[in-house]
Amino acid sequence: MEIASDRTDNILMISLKGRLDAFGASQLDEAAKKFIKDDDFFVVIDMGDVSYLSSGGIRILLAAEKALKKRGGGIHLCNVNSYPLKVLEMAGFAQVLSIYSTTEDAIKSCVALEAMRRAEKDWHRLPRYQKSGARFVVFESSAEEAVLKVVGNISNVLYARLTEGDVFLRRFSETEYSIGLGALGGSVQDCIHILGEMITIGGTMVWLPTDGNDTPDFLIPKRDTGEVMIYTGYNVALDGTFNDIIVVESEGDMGLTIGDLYTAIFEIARERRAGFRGLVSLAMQADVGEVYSSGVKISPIKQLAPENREMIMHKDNIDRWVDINAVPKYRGETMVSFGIGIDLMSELSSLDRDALNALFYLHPANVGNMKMLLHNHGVIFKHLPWKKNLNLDGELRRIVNKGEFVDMRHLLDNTRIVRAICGVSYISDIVFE
Amino acid sequence: MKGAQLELEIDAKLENLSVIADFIATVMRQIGTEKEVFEVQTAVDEACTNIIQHAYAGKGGVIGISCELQDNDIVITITDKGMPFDPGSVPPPDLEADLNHRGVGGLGVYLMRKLMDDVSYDFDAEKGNKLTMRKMLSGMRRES
Repeated sequence: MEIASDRTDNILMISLKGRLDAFGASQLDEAAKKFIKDDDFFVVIDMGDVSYLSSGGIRILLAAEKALKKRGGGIHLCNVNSYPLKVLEMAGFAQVLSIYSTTEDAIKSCVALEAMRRAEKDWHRLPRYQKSGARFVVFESSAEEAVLKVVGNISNVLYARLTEGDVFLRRFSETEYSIGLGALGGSVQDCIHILGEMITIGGTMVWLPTDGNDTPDFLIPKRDTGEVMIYTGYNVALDGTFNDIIVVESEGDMGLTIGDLYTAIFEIARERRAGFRGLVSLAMQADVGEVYSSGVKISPIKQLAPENREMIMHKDNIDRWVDINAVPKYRGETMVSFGIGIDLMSELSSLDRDALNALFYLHPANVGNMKMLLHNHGVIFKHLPWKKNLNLDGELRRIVNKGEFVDMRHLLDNTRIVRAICGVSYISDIVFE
Repeated sequence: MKGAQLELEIDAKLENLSVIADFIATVMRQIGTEKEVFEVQTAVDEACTNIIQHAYAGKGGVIGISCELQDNDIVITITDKGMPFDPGSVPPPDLEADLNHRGVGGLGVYLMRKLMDDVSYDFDAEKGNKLTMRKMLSGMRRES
């Protein structure tokens, strides 16, 4: 087997050509010892010209992964051909190893993880803030532009005005962060009566069907085949990555509310980000202080709309339409959540008004005298030990895959968290899908 | 090619695994189906790797491979004179374990069993190890 090495952005890439059988594995073992230096942590292995992989080849990939992991790194495979990929899947290694479709994606991920590794080592050098009785440590993870992709319009949900024509079909993506109102099923007709609160996060999709059972449906496709389709009447997805990873640790036992958390994030953004436009998305892993939730009980479609034509949140409608959980729940459990928040104190003129309205419904009836509008969905798992680190995407995947699923809810702003790793994206634009 | 039989005798060395793979590809081509060539190559490769590394413990020896078409099945018999090695004695790998508890012990045998329809083993004090693997070839058209 031919083995070559190269460096891009100081990330070592080992390119293989030929058969990665037990013989190829022995050659790779020799070569890897030569190529991988003591200060290499994340290494890309380009499998584009590997036509064949056996358990002997897997053995050497696993050995490299374990050795690098001990230092805090790992291998990233890319361009894996169909038969080697099939062998990895059969052997149960497709979930254990990091596999990327392109060389660029693999290198990009290595660069990001390497920056996180260094920052974790120099933790005390990261900028920190004290707000709302909590400490915020900020790590700038990416300067990439972040955009929200919107389907539908929140006012159709709030006024129960959805018709079949307002229900869109979206492909589930394993890498996407999104919230909305949706359902899984065979057709629009099957789904439209059971649309409910929905979230996609960490490679999973969870939704709360409005079928009267109040039981969320938790789905992790084994492999992202692109075949899982979601019917949705309203959906907001992050197109981009986390700009900042913010680690929050509260000083008190009860923690801080999600409202406090967003307030602090907005303040930090105004201080640090000159181009801050008043809109963020927030993905997080948190230890729960207490969860307060709400959720639609009835699919908000036109034929079921309240007779008084008021919002489903209207005092005469809310009891029938919305399940408000004012009893604190899930103290000490682990939560992963995704949501969006708009800072009504910020100058919002640089964002498209119609698009903002589709996201939040900025009508006075909805805004009142509020300083911000938030929309967050959280998935609760049995408590998993807290690990302070900056690889939020990796942590979310770990929790979703290893955690014991408990519940999924639309979070009220007074939900409290004790500590959290937050992935904040500063939204520069909103686009309709 | 009904009843066709093709044989290979080769030194038990890891560098010969590619020769064995080429031999299997040639056999499959002669039989008239290449649809499952990767699957059969993998099963034979894993079996021969075990022979080289375990039965002969890297000290070398000879591996005999014979292929035969029986109806729509390819039947492959692999023989060696190394230490007795029964794949049936290998416990299945834990495919769900996390990275730290992951090994590749048993993975080769697992793949052989998964890819072939039947794997059987026989040991004879004189003739040594004999492994027989059978797989129905979907790409074969039944000869009338």
